[in-house]
Amino acid sequence: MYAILLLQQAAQVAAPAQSFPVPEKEPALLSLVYMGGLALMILLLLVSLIRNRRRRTGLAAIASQDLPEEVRRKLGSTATNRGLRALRIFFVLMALGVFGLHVYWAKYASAENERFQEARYRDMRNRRLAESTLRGWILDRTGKLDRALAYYKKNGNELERMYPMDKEMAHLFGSDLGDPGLERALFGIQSSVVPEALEIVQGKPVMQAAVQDVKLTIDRDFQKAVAEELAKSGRNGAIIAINPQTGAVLALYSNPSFSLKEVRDATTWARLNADKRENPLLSRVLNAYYVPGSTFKTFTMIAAYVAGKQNHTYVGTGGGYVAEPGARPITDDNGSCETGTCGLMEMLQAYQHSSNQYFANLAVTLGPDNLRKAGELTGLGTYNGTSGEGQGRPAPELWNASTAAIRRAIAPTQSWIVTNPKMRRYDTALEGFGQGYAGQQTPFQMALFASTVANMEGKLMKPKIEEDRPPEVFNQVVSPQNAADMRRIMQSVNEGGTGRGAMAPVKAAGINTGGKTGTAQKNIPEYDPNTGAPRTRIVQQKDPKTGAVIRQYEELIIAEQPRIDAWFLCVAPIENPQLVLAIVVEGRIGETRVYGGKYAAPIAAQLVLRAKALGLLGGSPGNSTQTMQAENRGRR
Amino acid sequence: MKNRASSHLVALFIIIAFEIVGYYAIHRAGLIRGYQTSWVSGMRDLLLFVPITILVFWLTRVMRFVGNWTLFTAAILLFAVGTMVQYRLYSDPEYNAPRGTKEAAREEKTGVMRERFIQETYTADKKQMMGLPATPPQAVPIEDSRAKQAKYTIGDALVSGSTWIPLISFMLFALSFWLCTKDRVLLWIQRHSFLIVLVTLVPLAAAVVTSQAGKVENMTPWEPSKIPFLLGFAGILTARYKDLARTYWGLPRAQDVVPLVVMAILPFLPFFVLKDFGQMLVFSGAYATLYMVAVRRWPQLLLFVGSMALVVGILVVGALPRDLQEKVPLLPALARPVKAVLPDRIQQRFHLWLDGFTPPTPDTPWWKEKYDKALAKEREKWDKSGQREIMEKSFDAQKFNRDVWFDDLAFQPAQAIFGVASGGTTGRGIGLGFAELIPIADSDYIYAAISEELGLTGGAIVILAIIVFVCAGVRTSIDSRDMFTKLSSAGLTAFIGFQALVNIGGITRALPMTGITLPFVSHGGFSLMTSFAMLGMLMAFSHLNARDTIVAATTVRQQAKRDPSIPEAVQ
Repeated sequence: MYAILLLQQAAQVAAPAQSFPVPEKEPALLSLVYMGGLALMILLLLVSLIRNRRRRTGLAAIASQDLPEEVRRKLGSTATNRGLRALRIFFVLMALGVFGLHVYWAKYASAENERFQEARYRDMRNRRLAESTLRGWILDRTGKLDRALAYYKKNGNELERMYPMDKEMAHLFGSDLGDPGLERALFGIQSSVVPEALEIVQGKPVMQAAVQDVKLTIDRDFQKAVAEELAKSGRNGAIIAINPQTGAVLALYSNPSFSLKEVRDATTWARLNADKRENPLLSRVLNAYYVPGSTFKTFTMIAAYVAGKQNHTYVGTGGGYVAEPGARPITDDNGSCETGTCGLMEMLQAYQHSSNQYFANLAVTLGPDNLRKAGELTGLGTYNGTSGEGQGRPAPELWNASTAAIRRAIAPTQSWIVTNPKMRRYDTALEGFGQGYAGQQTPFQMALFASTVANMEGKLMKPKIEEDRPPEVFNQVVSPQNAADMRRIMQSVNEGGTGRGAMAPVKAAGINTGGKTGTAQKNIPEYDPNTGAPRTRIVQQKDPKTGAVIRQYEELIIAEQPRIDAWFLCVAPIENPQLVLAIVVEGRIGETRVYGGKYAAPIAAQLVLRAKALGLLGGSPGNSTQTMQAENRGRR
Repeated sequence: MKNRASSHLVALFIIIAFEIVGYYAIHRAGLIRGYQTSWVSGMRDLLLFVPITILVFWLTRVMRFVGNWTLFTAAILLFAVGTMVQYRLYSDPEYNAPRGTKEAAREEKTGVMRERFIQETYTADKKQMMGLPATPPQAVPIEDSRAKQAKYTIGDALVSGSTWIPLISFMLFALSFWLCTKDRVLLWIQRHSFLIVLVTLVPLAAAVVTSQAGKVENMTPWEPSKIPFLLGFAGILTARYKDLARTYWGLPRAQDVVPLVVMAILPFLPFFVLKDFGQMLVFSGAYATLYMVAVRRWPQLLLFVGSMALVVGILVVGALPRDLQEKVPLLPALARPVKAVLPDRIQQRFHLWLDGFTPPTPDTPWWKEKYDKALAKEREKWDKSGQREIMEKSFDAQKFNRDVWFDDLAFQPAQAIFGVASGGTTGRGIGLGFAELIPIADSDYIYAAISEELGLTGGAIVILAIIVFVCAGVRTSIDSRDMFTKLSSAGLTAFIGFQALVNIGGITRALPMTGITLPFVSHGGFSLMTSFAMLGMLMAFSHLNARDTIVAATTVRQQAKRDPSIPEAVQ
């Protein structure tokens, strides 16, 4: 089934404009002529065979006269010949059966035989086809050749694939080893879609779509800036930049990365692959789970707007919010309530100052059903339990891409929460501010939340990586008015809330932005300092009576101190957002004073300024009527 | 088409004409693919049709042939397809390259294609960036590309087996035709059938002793011994079939059966030692055919067919993939003892046949050795790079097993079946497929090469030609007057027919792959000679039938004065 889909998609990809004669047409036509001629001869032979069928010999078979009559009858010519005719029929049937199997392999196996499909990628013809042409060049969003992200260079007699942004693009492009990235997905050639002789003669292009150049949505300079900023912080982390109006991914990078050139060597690749502590082969944006902390309040806010409960109020107290009798009270970071979060709060105030109590209470008020609804609208996985089918699955359907292979190559790991109607209220409350069961979010998913808010029409656009793809809507999540409201709320964070200090230079440059900070602890395993392999211990379960070992398994050793991650979501410019940033910076082991506002937000500030310089933020901000309206509403 | 020499001569010329078309297609496709075909070997191949034409004249003018021409034309058609595909494969420098230099040959080819691709599609800017002269995209005629020159001289052609083997085959064809039209020779064969078999057993035994390992450089010198075995069996059956038909409680007497069984088993022994199971399969098919034609007693037939089915059934059950066995109750218990007894080679072939896309577990007896060898080689590589510890940790045994499986034992059958699948209905076009990457695609796997480049249509042409040949052969057998020629022609037909089926079936996975050639089509020295000799005998029998019919007819009609060699007299 899947193979058919692939085939169809590959066939749909437009063929390159061929202005030159196709030399393949000639041998293809000649081979058709050859087959036609021989087929004609065979038909003539068949006809002559049938015409001569009725011819009989004039003589009867000579059977010995000394045999009894009964035996002689059975040995007579007719009976012997009956055996021969049976042989003939038997043979023709066998031959047709063998040919039937040929038909099966040529026509049906690629659609119906699962084992054949699985093994098909080992077809050496794929490689031959790929070798006989060249992969297309990969260009950035401008499509300028001198800004190519991957191209060929003549190196002596060899053609070498060059990557000017070797490390920066490594996760997106992917190496030849391991799972395929864009390089293999964009230019993978399937021998099964190569045209037959007849199709070549009819004019189907022989050259594959795979040899065309591809324009990515990535902005080469911005991607470089992103990598530089993250490197400057000296920490591991991930950044994704999306245009919320179109879904175009402007930059996608995670630190540490690797060099595409170096991993051509299999042993280097294996060494990097074995390093699970730094895990340079892992694209943290797409495939690493983080605890989102306060940034997840963005999702809870969206859920409230989806459910129409955006006017929810809550009175913050020093004792914290008790979700259900006997549960631990939920407080803000300092153990009670902070400035601005004590007393009666509306959504704006609570979001601006990041009140845990408010959002815990809001999540409980909304209930799992409303969270599920919002999750489905924004691409978040919603499950009834913490383990089960589909959790942690790749989610290729989130992408707007031309082929399934591309979608699969850059598929994010699906982020998820638990929305069991029967779950404890305390657990729902924890999810409301990004703790507990909400601890499996990828930076990619967080960017989708922010991008929903940032979209002028309240739509979540499917992210796309190919510049020429028309934008696609994933879902209409909220009304345009509600989206504008939420942007105002996000703006308040950077104007007078937790993001104010870090974003001051941006404000000074005349760009109004919205944001959300977050800080979260994540339990991580202990790693071997030499190889980077996680440490494990053998756990034995013993029968309490006899002392015999019932069960034995290997368990990861969790480090005593959790890692603290700093988050920042950013929307810029807030009046007509052209850029959404999701930034996560991992704390170092043993570090305690890590905050989103302190580590992640300054990176966002630098990047917004950089984006402005690169012209990624669109027209001049600050003076539009929308800003005035937003400000007016803010004062009200 | 009438059964006249002139009609079939025209047919032969038409085949030659289309053969030239095919050769030209190979030449053009070669230029696209970055190599030049050799004019010398192409001309040599086409000139081989001259002796064939001479044979036609020899048959009509000298031998006064009145038999069935369809046999001849069908065989020549198969031969034409075979030489065309072989020319295609041998023109490819990658296919020709000795081991270890294939990679270089391939890169040379792809280099030419890539260069043309760049010249035709890259803009001046792109070329400049690559470090090439900035010229606008321009069409490059394939004649102008730097395709690799073929190095094949007339001297090479004169000493090449590809020249001599067909010529020898044609001579053997003429010789066997001439001999078998002589009644004295046929009588002599019948009288000394047992002796003939024993004498031919001597060189075969020598082959067994000298080459325990199997084939000698892809040659099977024992192949011609098929003919005397067959004639011997037919001779003995002719002498004994009346006695065999006399049964007691459904069974013939031991004194009648034993010599026959000994006869039947004799050729099996050397083929068993030589591990030529395909030949054994073909032999059993021919023997069964002859026995059933000569002795038609239902109980014996049932016994025969039943025991064959039982043996095959047990073999298949023993070799079924494990997950399939576990679905049926009692099957694993049944299969275990069979598995223990079956030779490794047969188990391996059965696994490749029934479950070829799934690698066996590394501890499977017939796979363990190859797996361990590959693993040792891999570890050596790790040691060299000094990353042994890390590689050992990230080592995925299952994936490695799969990789080794598809690179080693499963490589040839899997690539062949991918080729069959990529051929579709009309094929990739002559020279435009990738048949060169299937090892031995010119001989055992020639049907895979045909179906890749000519598709189902090409496959249908080959299979129909074989059907035509077999039907004409059976017609010869039906028309025969005496038991010996009847059985001999039935046996010869069955031999060629079953050999073709076993070969094609091995590729389309109707049967396990056995490593025998496709008669008339494959590039196999002794196999081609044997096939043409068999064709000569069949045509001789057909000639005898027709001649006798004419003689009889003229006798009956009291027209003794008419020339008996005019075929029209038959009608």
